[in-house]
Amino acid sequence: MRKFLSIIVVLFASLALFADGVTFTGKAPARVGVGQRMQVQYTLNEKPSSIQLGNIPGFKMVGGPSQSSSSSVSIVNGSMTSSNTYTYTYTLEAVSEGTYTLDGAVAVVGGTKYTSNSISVTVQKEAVQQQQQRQSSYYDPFEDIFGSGSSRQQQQQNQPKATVSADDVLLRTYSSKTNLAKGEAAIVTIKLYTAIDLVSIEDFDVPKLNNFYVEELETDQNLKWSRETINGKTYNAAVLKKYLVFPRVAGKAEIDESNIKCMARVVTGRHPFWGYTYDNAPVSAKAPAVSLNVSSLPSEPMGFSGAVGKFNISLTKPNDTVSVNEAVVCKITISGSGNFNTIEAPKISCPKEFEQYEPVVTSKLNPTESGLSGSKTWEFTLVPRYGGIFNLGEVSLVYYDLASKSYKTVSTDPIIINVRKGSGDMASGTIYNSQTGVEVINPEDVRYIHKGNLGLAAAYSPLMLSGLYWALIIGMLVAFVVIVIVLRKNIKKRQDVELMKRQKASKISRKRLKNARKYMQAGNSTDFYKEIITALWGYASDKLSIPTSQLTKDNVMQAFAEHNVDEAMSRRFVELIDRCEFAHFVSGANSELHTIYDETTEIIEQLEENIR
Amino acid sequence: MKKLFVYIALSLLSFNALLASDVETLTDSAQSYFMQTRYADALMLYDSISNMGYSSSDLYYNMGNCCYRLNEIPYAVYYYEKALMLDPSNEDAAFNLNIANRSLKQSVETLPVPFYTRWWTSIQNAMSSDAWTILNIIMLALLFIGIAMYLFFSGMALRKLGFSIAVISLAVFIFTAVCAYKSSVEITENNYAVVFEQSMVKSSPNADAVNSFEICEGFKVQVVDSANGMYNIRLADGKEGWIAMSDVKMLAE
Repeated sequence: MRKFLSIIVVLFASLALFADGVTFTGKAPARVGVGQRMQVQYTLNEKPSSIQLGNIPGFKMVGGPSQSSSSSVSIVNGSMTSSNTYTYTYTLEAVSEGTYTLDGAVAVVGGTKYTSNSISVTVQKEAVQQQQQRQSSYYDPFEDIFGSGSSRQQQQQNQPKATVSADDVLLRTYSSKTNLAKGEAAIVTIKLYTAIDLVSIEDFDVPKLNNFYVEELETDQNLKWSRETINGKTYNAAVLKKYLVFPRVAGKAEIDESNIKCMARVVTGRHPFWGYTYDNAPVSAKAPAVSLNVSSLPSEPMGFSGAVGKFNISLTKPNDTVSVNEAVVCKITISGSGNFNTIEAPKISCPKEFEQYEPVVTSKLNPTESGLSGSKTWEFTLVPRYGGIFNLGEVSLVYYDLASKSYKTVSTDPIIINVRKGSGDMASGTIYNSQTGVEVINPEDVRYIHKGNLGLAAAYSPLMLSGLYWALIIGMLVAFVVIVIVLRKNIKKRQDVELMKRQKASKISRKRLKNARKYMQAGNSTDFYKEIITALWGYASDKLSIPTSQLTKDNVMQAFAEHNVDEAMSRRFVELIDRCEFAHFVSGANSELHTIYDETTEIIEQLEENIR
Repeated sequence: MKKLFVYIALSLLSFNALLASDVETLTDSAQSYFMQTRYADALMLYDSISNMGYSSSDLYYNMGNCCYRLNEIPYAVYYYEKALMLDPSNEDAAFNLNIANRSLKQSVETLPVPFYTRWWTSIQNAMSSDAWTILNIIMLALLFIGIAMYLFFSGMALRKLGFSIAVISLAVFIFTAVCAYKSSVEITENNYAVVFEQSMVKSSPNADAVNSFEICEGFKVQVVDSANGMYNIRLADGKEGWIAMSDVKMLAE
């Protein structure tokens, strides 16, 4: 250190020549108590070769001089400036009371003698405790406990005291409003005031807020202290807790008293060398209860559940059209500011075609000093059990508007759900369940009596087992039999006509065939075919008892089948008719006449054998 | 033949004419009592009609309603059951019975029945036994008409139509006959009863026998046997036991 100093001295010795002067000042406390020691400092900007104290009446020198020096070099815009400081400190003890003047000290710098200023010091009887004023109004006595100690030297600036008086530490509860409506927000603040050094908070009972819905507001983790004056006494004050409260009942609502226990730093004595000794002492304070006047709301309308503030309601429905048994999710959001805690789940008037589940609630609330704002969302799940278009109506919220001092109703859009009919099986099964479920919940009333004629019968017995039934049955049977007997000749006649025709069928056709043969020999193909066609159709009609009006190829085929003629034969018959009709209209092909004639005779003979 | 029908029709008409005289005034006044909510008086009048030997599904239905309003639920059940016995298709009675049954202290689960029994029962209960019988007679008439058409008409289409009518009406005739007969027998040989006294059902026809289960008033039970002044009853869920005859009332009574 010394080596370093000498280097500096050598370095700057030449520079000192350029210095424009030597300053030599002395400094000492203005007041000192008898027997107390004080330090007197003499500061030079040049190193003196010697220094000597002047006359010091009323004091005696107990130490010194101790020497220290510092130097600084700064280069600004290329020009270098340097300054050196040499300090010599003497320790003096005050001997007797009075005001004394310390004569200037004499220092020799570069062969020249310099004399410092003289200092006036008052020596008083009692010890001087604090000589410096507080430097800033900002002060944190809890720096040690909570903070990361920024300036340790400021810590002891509250006056250390030996005893703690009752009003040194105060606790107070404040409410932002004393008269308010039920459900209106108020801010409750609990503040701590201290006039002494506090080391720690041992215990803090928060007040009970039974008649309120409470939201705690965030306060700073580190207490923020500020100077405040209460009853003429200056305190350091800090907010301990802050609540947003909503009164739940009308009338007088009390915020209970709260208690705090702290540790304070108190002076226990004085050490001859190290000054004061301190110890921690418990201090307690109590905040008196605060009562608020809560006015009740004007007569509550239907559907009002206690919401006070300003709210809005909205509906979010992802799908308008769903299938049976498919869930519909309806989100109902209430947003705004006010006492959200009292808002009950909105009610959806659900028809019994729907199954409704408990809503899922999510809330995004932000308590601030201006109130509780945010939104609360209810997510309803509805499962339709039947198809159709359902209007579930609108969901509304009634609230008390503080601004206009009146009740207001806000509503969503109506909930309209279009339910498509789903696939059968699954639906019907659940429908059954939901129906019985509904019946149990809503027992309906019995239906009304039957009015008018009750259809009374004397000595009732079922008609089926009565004589009347059998009389009717037997009567009808007898009537039927009689009618059949009476008209039996008609039946016979009809049957005879059919039989006759059937028997004659071959005969008539044979006659026609004979005519046809004549035409064939004459070469008259037109008449030949006409005769053959008539023969074939006529045979079918008579033989199969088909009336001429219903004589079609299909009917003939069917009738043949009924008479057990095999299909090949009946097809040949029909094809023959086709060929004849074709040839008849084309009217050529005389060569075919023979074969047609032969085939016709042949098929009629065969059919005659088959149909008996 | 025609004379017979005329006679039958006349006799039916005269029946109604006889009824009309004093019974009609009784029903009218009972109805007006009911409207004035004087249910006890209405019930008394209806009961007097019943005592005169008249009965109908609607009469018992109205009596059931009176009892329900008087909060005599077991009696309401009894009369609704009676109304349904006479006309299983009395929808209002079935509806009200369901409600009355729900007001009872206990409930019994019905044993599951196979689907074909369920179907059959629902078809059979779709109409009253008399309606089935009338349908049955109409079907017989249709059957005869169909046969006659087949026999006497000479046109093929008409004969075919007649044949079809005959076949279909024969099938429906048989079906309706079965339905009519079964539902008629259910009325005349009805063995159901309603419990009127909350009591212990015994395991054997003996007052000292072990208690099987407790039964509350208003229950409909099936009476399968009787001995020693007790009925052997069967519940809808299959439980069986013996109960004093005085504790129950048969529907057919």
